[in-house]
Amino acid sequence: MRPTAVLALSVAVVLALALGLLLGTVSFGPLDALRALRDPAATGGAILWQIRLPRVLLAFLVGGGLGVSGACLQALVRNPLAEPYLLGISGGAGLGAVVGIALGWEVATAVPLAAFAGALLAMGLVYRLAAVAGHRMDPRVLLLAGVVVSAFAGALVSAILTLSPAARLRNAFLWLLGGFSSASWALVGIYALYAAAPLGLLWGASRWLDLLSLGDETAQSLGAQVARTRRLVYLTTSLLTAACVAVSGMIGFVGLVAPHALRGLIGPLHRRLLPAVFLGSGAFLVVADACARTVVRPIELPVGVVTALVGVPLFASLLRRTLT
Amino acid sequence: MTLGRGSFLSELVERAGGRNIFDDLAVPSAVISIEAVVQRDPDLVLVADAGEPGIAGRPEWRVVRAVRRRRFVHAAGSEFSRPSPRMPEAVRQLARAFGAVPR
Amino acid sequence: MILRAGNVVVRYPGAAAPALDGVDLEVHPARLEALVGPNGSGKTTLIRALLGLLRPARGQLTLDGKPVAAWRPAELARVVGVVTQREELVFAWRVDEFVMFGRYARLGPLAPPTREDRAAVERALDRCDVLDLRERRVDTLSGGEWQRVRIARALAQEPRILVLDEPSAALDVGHEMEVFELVRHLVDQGLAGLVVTHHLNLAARFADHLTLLRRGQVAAVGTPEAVLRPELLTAVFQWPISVTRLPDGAPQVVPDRKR
Repeated sequence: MRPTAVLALSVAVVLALALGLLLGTVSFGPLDALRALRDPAATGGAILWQIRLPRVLLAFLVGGGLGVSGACLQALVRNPLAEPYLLGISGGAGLGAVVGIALGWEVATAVPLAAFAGALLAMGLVYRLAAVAGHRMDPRVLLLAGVVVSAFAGALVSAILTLSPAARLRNAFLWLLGGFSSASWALVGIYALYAAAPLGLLWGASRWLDLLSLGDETAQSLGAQVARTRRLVYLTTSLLTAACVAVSGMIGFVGLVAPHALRGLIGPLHRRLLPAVFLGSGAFLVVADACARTVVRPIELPVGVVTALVGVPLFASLLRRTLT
Repeated sequence: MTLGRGSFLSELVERAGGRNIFDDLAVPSAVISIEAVVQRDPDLVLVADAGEPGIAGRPEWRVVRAVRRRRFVHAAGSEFSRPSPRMPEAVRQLARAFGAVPR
Repeated sequence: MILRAGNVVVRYPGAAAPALDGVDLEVHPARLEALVGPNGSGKTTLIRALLGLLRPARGQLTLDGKPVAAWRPAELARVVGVVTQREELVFAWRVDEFVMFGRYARLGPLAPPTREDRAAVERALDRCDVLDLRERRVDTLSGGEWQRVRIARALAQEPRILVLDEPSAALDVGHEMEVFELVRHLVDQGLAGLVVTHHLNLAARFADHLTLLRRGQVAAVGTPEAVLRPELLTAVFQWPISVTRLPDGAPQVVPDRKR
């Protein structure tokens, strides 16, 4: 791995985390922040320890999860434009969340669970659809099934929103647009424990991901167990994405931009790429979240808005660079 | 999510002798960060639903003094969400509730 | 180690006639076998069956006496190096990374590459004469370079058998010859070789043994001289074909003009 790339990445991550910690409605200078951290009982320290630190960590972990999911899916479906949401998971999660909100459930605890359940349902549906079409895990069939399930879920979400009272509607929109306002240490802990296994598994499958991107026959002739690996990667990325969406709503572009940018920097070999993508997309989301809660303070923008506004021009310039 | 200057409930609060800590927001409602609430340190929290507010139990919300001390005032019911003949009653209810909150 | 197909029958679902109807083929060490025939005669189907990518309706497919279906993909990959007809290039790999894929079957998912592996990659690059391309990105290579790199990847597997499916399609005359000379050289050094090609003349000059397929059946087997007979070729390819001879004795196919 090129040492300059490693250095640049590490610096970027540290800077991003620092930025996330320092910026916000209540802004800290670096020295003030250090002082405040040492006194968790005082207001400043409480803000940092109870509110901001869990939020920054959650944004980092979720960003990392989305980035790694995106990178793995891009290899799985052999398309560098694939995003974690292509497989219908986000549609299902959105539906679950909106149902929970419409029923008046608690936004910080019951709704994420509902979203997760919705995501699992969508996953099962996509898997079933893809299997019925006769091609187990054929990438094109998977994508089509994902589009179909997303569309169906989207239609249901629209129907529910049309029939909801104004306050619930507002809450539903806010959830769908994504954000980390309900971040807590408990959530960080749950997510970290949950995501460790999928992330480890996906990194362990790095070599098979390299091979799968070459095509099924070539991959098999080089020793990959194509069907089994496909199933594993699909299930694992789906579970990881489901958790990300359940925890923080639908934050787009993270799973698309980071893998692209880092492939250009680090190279496509997944063994090196996946850890780099984890760090890079984590940092990206931390910075996006910091912007979301600072730009028009004390109002918070949904993080998804920031990632889209930043992500689209970034992606456009990346595209231009790869196409010329 | 909180309400800003232009909203109906905010007006009721003003008439009842209270002050919306977010009355500098020109928008009727907006999402604000917990930090902003901590920074502005309200004396009490107006809750739009009946029953125990969900934020009472969450550690990141307990940084707010009013949440820690459970200074909640409930404003459930349609008289708090839009103009109606029961407006004066709504204001009286709020004023009574504000008075009952220990300093 | 011999790769053998015995009386293989393969049917594609919904097809009227079987794609392969009782085909025999053998691939031996230090011998280059060429599989030839018109489009749709079953050449690629036979290769797929030999590599365990297809299950036959009937017949035996064995490698070293053991049925191909009983070999796990990684085991097979340590013995058989394949250069498929086409593959997808979604990402911009470096040539040395790309050739290292050939070692994955031996490395498994987690072990880092050893000096042994790096040496095998070096040797493979060298034998294919692409050492100077090792730092290049694969999407910047010419057709001929790309093909040689793919052969290098197959060689990095340290196989006993090399299978190439249409290795010279879309290559110009110079690159075609390059690829076949390389394969011949490798076979002379002891590898077993199987080439599927529509290039009758290249097969005639480089292969030791030909199998001519026609509509899923074996139309002829034997040396190039024995198989490339004008009457047979005319019937199989549905076109008037003559056969001449090169100074070194290799038969060369010359299709006639119709007008």
